[in-house]
Amino acid sequence: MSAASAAVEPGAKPRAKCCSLCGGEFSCCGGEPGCWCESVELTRETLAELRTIAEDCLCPSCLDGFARRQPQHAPSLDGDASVPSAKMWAKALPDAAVRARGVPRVWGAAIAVFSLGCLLLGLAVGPIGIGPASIASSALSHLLLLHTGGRLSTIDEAILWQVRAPRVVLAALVGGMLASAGAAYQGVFRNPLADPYLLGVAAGAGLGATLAVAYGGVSSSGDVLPLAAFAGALVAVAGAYALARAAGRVASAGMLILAGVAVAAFMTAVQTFAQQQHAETLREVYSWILGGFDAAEWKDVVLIVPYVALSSAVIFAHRRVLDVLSLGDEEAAALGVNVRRVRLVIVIAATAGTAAAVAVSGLIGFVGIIVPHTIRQLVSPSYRAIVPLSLLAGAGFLVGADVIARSLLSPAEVPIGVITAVLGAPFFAFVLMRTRRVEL
Amino acid sequence: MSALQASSVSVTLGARTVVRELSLQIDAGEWVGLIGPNGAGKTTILRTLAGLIPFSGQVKLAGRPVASSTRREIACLVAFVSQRPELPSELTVAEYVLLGRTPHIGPLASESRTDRLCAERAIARLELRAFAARSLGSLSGGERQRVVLARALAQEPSVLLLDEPTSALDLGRGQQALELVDSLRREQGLTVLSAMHDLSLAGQYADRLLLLNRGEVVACGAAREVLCEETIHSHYGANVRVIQEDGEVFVLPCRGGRR
Repeated sequence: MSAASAAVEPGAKPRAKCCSLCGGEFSCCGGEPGCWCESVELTRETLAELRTIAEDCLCPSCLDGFARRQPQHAPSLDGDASVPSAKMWAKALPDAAVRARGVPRVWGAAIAVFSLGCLLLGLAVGPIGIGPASIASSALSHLLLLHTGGRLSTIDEAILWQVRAPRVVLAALVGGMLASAGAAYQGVFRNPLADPYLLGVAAGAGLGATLAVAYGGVSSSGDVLPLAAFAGALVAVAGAYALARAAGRVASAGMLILAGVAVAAFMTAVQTFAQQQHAETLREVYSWILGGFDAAEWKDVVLIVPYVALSSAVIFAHRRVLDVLSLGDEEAAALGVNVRRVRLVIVIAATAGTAAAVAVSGLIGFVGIIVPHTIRQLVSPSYRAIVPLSLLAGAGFLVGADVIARSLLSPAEVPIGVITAVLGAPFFAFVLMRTRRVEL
Repeated sequence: MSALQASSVSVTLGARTVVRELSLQIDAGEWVGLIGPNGAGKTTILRTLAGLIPFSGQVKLAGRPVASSTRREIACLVAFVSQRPELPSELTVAEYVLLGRTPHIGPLASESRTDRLCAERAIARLELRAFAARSLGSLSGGERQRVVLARALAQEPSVLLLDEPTSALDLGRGQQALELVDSLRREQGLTVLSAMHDLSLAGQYADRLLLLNRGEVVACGAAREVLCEETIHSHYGANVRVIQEDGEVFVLPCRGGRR
């Protein structure tokens, strides 16, 4: 190419120009035939990319730098008639300069390892210890339908797959759901104190469960209680949303939070009244409210999987929009986001997921607030990282907490909410001490 | 063609009519300054034209009525820079500027290569390359203003609405910011509508001034027509001297009786 251009009559006289990139002066023919930049080989893709941002010439060293960033093995432009010569008017910038931080690989890997470790621990730990190797071989034989028998006895198999596995999977689903719902709530309400129970999910679920036990004669171990709790939670949030709209014409973030407070207070009062009228139900309701996975079965998993999958998919899809919302309602609207609709969609998704989680596991506090905040402080303030990592870390955290809850005073069980708070609070305090400032 | 056209636009916030029967036409590439005392409705007009608040009447952007456009369609045409934009302190400059591409990205999609390159160009244009990786919390007032302008530029609007662009800046930074807006306007054919408090600056940069009081346009025209001592006294209640020199108009506040 450079040999050919030497024969071409120079189109323009070299003149002093300023480099678009570094601002330094250099001499150039403005990309006309015979210009020095013809000796720089660029692929068609790189050229197209430079054209998009093309305004003026680059100095030799900047253009060289850009040329070096293109894939080495890519074919050069020689012989391709459809592309002119490597004329450069580009204001080239390192492509990596402007890029939204996603999930940093190191953190993604670390949290994945943590969560997988917790899952494995959950399967292995118990009154009867089952080694990781046995778990792996048993899992393999099930997965591949080999039925080679593995190394486990029938009883161990039953313990592993009928008792521990559903428990671990349920804890993971609930933990991931609560953490990602918490992240979503914090994002749409731009409030660091927001947690999945913000809009009255907890109070509604508690009321639903209480009414079912007190007036419906439902037992806390039956199938109806989760449904009653689920319905109560949805009614509470729908009530809060309706109240906020009625009061403020539009459901603004602050109005929604306050409406949630009112609805929660009202429902808690009704619940207290119902409990007082039926004192014999107190124990039953209380044990449900404390939460836990001691009665976990596969059917619970089946019950909540669709909600968790749908809800976390919706939240995940909105991770970039959550970043836009961090600029405030008006700025987000000026950037073309339909703030009210987006908020409604995210709140519905997070609420449905949370309600399903609460229905099968009771009220487990702290996961929804502590996990997203920890990710925010340790990894990145962008919801592109917070949402997926919260899902993953929340799952691992709750499985780990459940392991401690059932082995600390074995065979008795410590309420899992106690563990999440006792473990979470000091760790969270540590994270906060490292933090310069809290802002959402 | 007019970039922005408003005909008998009224805005009612609560029980109060904040903007009354505003009609306005801004040509492409023109810079119009909105001036007027506090509460005159300057910010409300900007927010209305950005499609952020409901109004009666008609607003057309590049010939298209705002009322029947989606929020995203409006945002592709108009960038609104509020007086105190929210800058989440942990976000980097690059990430913030990239958020300006939001109207060009599908609701649930993520940025394409073009979006990143466009943000890069905005960053380079506002000489923010050295800041790209800095967090927003670590910037000075002048740098913040440039970052916000970069975000607006990344939006690739045809109309730029600026609410008090110099209010947080010192004299020099304010001037630099306005020069920057002016050069961006010339390079990219932007139409600029800015609310301004400093009347001298408003007169020096805007092609045309629109003086508002109580939601109504009370004067409109070139700086030397609008900025006169009587007009300013009757609408601002301020004692000022107006000096015209070399085609520039200076409005100087003074104490004591008029003249």
